[in-house]
Amino acid sequence: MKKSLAPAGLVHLFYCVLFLLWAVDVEAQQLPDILIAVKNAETKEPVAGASIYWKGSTVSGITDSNGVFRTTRGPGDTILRASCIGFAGAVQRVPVEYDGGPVVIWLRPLAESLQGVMVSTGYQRLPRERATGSFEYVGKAELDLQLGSNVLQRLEGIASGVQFEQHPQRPNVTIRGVSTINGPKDPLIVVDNFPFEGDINSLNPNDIASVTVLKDAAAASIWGSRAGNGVIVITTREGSRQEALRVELNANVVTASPPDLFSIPVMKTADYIGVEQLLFQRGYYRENAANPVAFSPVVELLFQQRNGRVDSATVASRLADWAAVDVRNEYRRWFYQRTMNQQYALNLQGRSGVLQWFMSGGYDQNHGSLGQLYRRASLRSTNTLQLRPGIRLRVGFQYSSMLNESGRPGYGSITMANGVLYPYAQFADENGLPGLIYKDYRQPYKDSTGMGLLQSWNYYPLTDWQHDRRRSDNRHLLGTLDLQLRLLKGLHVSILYQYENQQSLQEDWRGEESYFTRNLINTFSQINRANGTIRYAVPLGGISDNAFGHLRAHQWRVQANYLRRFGVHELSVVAGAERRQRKEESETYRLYGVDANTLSHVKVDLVDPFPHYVTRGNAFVPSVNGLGGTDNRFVSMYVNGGYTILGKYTITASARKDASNLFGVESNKRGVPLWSAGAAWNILKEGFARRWKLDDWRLRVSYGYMGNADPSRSAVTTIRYVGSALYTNASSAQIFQYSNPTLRWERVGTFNIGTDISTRARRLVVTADYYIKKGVDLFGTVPVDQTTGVGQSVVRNVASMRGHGVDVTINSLNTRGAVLWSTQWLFSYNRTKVLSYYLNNVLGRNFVSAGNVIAGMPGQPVYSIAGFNWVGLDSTNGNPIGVLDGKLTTDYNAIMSRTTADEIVYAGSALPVWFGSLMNSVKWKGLTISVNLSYETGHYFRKSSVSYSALFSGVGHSEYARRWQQPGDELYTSVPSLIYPANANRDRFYNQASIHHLPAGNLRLQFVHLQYNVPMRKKAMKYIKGVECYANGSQLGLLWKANKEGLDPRYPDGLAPRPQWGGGVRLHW
Amino acid sequence: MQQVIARYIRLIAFIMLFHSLTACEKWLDAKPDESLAIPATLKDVEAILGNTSVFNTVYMHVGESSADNYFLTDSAFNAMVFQGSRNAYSWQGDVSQDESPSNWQTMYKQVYTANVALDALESVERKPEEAMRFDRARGVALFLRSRALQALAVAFAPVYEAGNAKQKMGIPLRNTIDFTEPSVRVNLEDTYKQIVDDMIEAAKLLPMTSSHPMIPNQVAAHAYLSRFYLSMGNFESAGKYADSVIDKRWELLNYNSLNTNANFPIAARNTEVLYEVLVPVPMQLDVSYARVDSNLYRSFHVNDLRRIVFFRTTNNGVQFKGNYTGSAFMFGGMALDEVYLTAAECAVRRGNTERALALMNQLLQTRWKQGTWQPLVGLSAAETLLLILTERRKALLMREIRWMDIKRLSVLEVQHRVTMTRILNGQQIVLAPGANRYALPIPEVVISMTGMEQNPE
Repeated sequence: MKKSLAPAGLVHLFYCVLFLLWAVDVEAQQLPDILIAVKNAETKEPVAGASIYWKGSTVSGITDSNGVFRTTRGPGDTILRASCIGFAGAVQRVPVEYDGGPVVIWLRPLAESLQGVMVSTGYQRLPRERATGSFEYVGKAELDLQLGSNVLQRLEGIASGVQFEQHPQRPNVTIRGVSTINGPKDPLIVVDNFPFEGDINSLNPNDIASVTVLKDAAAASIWGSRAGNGVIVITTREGSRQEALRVELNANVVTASPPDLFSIPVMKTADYIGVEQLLFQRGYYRENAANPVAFSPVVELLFQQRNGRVDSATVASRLADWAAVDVRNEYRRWFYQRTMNQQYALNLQGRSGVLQWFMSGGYDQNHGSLGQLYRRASLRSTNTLQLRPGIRLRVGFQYSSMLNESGRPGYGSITMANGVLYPYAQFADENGLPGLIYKDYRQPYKDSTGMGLLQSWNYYPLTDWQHDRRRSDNRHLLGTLDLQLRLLKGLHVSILYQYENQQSLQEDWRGEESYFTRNLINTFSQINRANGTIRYAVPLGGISDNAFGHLRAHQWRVQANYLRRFGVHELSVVAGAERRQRKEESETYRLYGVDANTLSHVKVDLVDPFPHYVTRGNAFVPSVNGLGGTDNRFVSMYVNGGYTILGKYTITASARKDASNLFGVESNKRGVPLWSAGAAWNILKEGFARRWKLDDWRLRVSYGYMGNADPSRSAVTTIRYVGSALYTNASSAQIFQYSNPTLRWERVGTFNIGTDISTRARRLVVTADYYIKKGVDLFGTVPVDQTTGVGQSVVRNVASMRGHGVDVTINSLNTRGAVLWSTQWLFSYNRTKVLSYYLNNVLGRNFVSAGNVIAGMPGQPVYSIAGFNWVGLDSTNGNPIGVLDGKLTTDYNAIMSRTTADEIVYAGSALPVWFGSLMNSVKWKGLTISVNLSYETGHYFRKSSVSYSALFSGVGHSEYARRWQQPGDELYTSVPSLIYPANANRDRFYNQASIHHLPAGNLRLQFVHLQYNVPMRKKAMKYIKGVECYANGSQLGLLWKANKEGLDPRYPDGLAPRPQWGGGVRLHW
Repeated sequence: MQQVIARYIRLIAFIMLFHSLTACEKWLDAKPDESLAIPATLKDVEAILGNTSVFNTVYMHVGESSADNYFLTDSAFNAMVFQGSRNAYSWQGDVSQDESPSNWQTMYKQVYTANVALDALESVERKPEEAMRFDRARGVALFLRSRALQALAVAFAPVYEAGNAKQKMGIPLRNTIDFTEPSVRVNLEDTYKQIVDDMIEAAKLLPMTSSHPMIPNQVAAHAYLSRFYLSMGNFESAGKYADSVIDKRWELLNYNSLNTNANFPIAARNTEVLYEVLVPVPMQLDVSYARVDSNLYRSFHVNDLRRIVFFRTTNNGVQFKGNYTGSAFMFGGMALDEVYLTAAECAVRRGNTERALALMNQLLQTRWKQGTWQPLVGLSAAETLLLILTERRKALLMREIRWMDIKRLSVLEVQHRVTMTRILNGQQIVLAPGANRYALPIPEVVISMTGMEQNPE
């Protein structure tokens, strides 16, 4: 009846009028017309062109440009169904007592929808159907399924082929497995148009519109020498085309319990004391009057007993008391707490005339499990100005400020001088008063030295952290200008500029009360025993370490975009040039004798050696002062073209060349230009495919090369100035990189073949890709002859590797109707193997690996689990038995020095071979629940165990309790007997033996997300347009694991992240 | 028409902009890291050679660890963390096992670093106004390389004998910065020829004095030459260079001026120090474990101040504290007392017993309590030589010199040869003069990687 409605922005008024009309009409007792409004469940924008019909009826219509449709109702018409391309269909029951208000049908956009999605490479946005490359698109709705401050972490379990790991020595994010061995392993992060140089944490996830992962050469090779590990393009939100002001507020809170310290495999305190007693008897501990280094309380007590100062009854009772202590309880009780993370985000958007704008602000406040604080405030604004037809200017600005403050000491951070802490340490006595922990020097020495002139030399961790604080402050500013103008028909040029400025300031403050400061003051005190005076080389007062960092990055780009259709031909070319400059400056300095009240400090002599108070040796007052500056510059040229004929066949090609000012590696001279080529076939447009009940079927194939530049590598000898030399104070430099004239940038070649299939109404959408990756000229760490003088290993282009794999994404809409059930299945398979690796020896021990170093054995996975052949324990003495030259042996030196590479036992890959996730979402009325399971399998990990050499230096392991003690034990244990003195090679052999290789397969509950869209009454809609409440649990733990030892294969040494529970609300106006 | 022109102007402007972004050879010349440099100037070379962390605070200890200046009790022996410590002490197996970096690596790093400096100097112009600096830089590099290689040769090659040095294995001489060039052991003659030639050239290039004893000078070069020639049994040249040092610099440290109660009575950089190197103490030589042989301790007369300057007696044995470093660091450089002892030995071996005795009297009167030293006169050549060798054994403790002396004495007079014994777990181990072990095993990892020949066991 009304085909054209009120202009956008007046919808409210329109609804009000309708309401009045209905109110007038209410007396008539007729079945009234029903007003239907179809809206995008994600953006709240009206959906135009959606088809509407009554279930069981053929009468239907299409929503107008305001997403509105009006229909009459026949008898029995109770359920409305709406569907639209790019959205999951939805149904809505209309009650018999229709109240006359608009029936709102929310359509959830299919983020994985193939049509209509524009993928962004950072250089261009192109419709997915014209792409020949492999792109993974993740929309806002998927990103919002996980909470947290870091946008990348939200991709976990959502993006196919993307893997996350929390491993200190392996890359954290990998796309399609590793493609390099020793080069940089992180993917390139691009925000909007340019590589992001700052801290990824400075991005507010609420400002992100979508993330595109560029996986193959056709997608990523335009990023040239930095694309080897894949590219993640983050697109931020922009202003809406709607006139109306729209406001969105999002607030949530997430909490988790403190880490489970009891998952750490440490030995029982009683066992630990037993070992200390044994070592004491064997004369392991030696008193040295000249350097009274602290012993643990047990050893100290035993010395007292030997010197007749305590009787054996006292010793026994004290040891019994200590045996009951577990320092993990102490940590838990005094230092750990629940984490509490709060996040607030507000954004406003609208359009006024030629200006389209978006503004947002965010505030995050996280309290960690040790009471540490993280605070981020961010502000963002994007404005697009249509200056004249054909001239568009976009101005963006983002500012964020991050604050980090240290908290209490975490497990393992409180140690004695030897770097370990006895497990019977007590941080507080029974009255809660701070407990004394032995630190650097023996208590009798501390008590008797210094004539009362020194600072207290006692260490009380319970309170010490209050005086030992670290605080860092980061400010990140990003400004962008993007001018686009139409030059000729089909030809646009854009000029882009981005400025990034990040300033960081870190202060480590150690007050005069802190142990650090007191210890340093004492160490540099000189006492004149004749007249009882003291001189300080390190003055009284606090110590303040300051570090400033300043990063500035300029990026300029000039690009021409040509897009034109000639009949059945369609040509699209982008070509451009860019310059990047990344300048970093840093400064660190330390102030001594700082009085926090007056901000005064005292000068110290850093140049001359002073006698160390305890050892009387030469010692210099420590200095951290230094300056640094880097200036990396790049110039690149690139071109990327696509040609489509008949809308069916597409071919693409791209090429790129990079030059830089980096030392030595002159890629512009030596490097081959990086390129890619691809083709796509839109099968469904063929005549023969018309009858098929498909919405989409395409085939893609691509091949090309990407590079992996490592700015830290150099082909020529470089030296680093290290300030003044010790003692002489003359200018001093160290050799930083060794002459390495054959060095080149790494290259990764990728072949990709993929298909996209979608059935009618998108009930089933499948994307499948098979790829082969080949890395050549890879950097490899090569053990080098020590005689060369360059150390024990060097890095050269010595390796090549091949990886292949499959990425499959299946989205199915299982039920439609009142209950909407959809499933997303991500399946990935990835195997890498070393093709060649330069190693000029075949020494087996160089190939032993726990998966944290590259084991360069051709034919084996790049990261593999490999170890020595394990036989068992000797039944007479509990010695572990190995194999050498086919014979059993316990000659561990020979095993280490003579085992050849082919005698090494390979378990398999250290990285998952099969991995993926399964997500089910069920929507009923306003309620949506999503459950995501992730799995990894086909890989292995190495379990840790006891090492007696480590144990005698104080590092124990829970397996100690299972050690071989008498003949017969070998039947049920594989832990070798204790021997003294320890044999380091025996320990090494045992810990690296194949018995510790365990399958790492696991299934975990990644997250559960519950969302409720509160149905809005029309009265309330005047004040608020939408309310969504959500609750979320993530990292919910293991559901299944392949190993029988009860170890979490991701965290075999404990401290797996705890489940995080959160909830929040999103409000729309 | 106008519109078309305007469009083409825009296009041209765009192309110019495009060009300006890519035409930038100069722009790419900027240094990528302010603190990094490709060594190309005299200043760079001086800074490389001036890195005291590479040259002056590390040195070898495998010789001292294998020598007879200390012993370990069974429990101390068992408490060693590195197997290499036990191997060095018990004269079997790889002395470098478990230790990283090994002595081999540490010293060859010095060789490499000196080579980098020499390589960079090739491209530096020797400007007349900088000639002295240039020469000194080259002298320092040669000095450091020669010194490092000689220390390695003493530990890892057999003793030098003039007649058969061509038939014996020396050590690899690396004179390149190219790490791909394989390391090959050359014969002992060539090894010592380069060591000596480098030091002779260094002595010519170096200035007489330097501002700090960690910076090489000509006097130190001559002192090293006297040590090198002495180890080769060339007493003529050794004596000549030792004398030249004594002629220039003769201020011995009078031990009567020392505070004998101090933890470390002998100050660093005292008047006797000609070249200073501080050596971190390995576990086996640390005073917590290492004990001084009681016979050695008892050989010091009660009036000999070294008895209290060098040693601390505790209830579990005698500990050494006589480092020429004023600290727990061992001394690994060159000091005047060694030069006196070398000069005296060479004098007596060259037939000048009188001068030898005079030198010994000069030296020993600074070592004994004021006025207690009775100058020796009229001793026979043989008696004088015995005195000198005895005093040499007592003076140069924990300086990585004893191993060299034990080796060179094994090819001299029979009566001066040293047979060392250790007692371990009740077993006596003997190292007889001329044993294969005199050439310590090269680290196993080097042998397996290069295929170079290992010293016979």
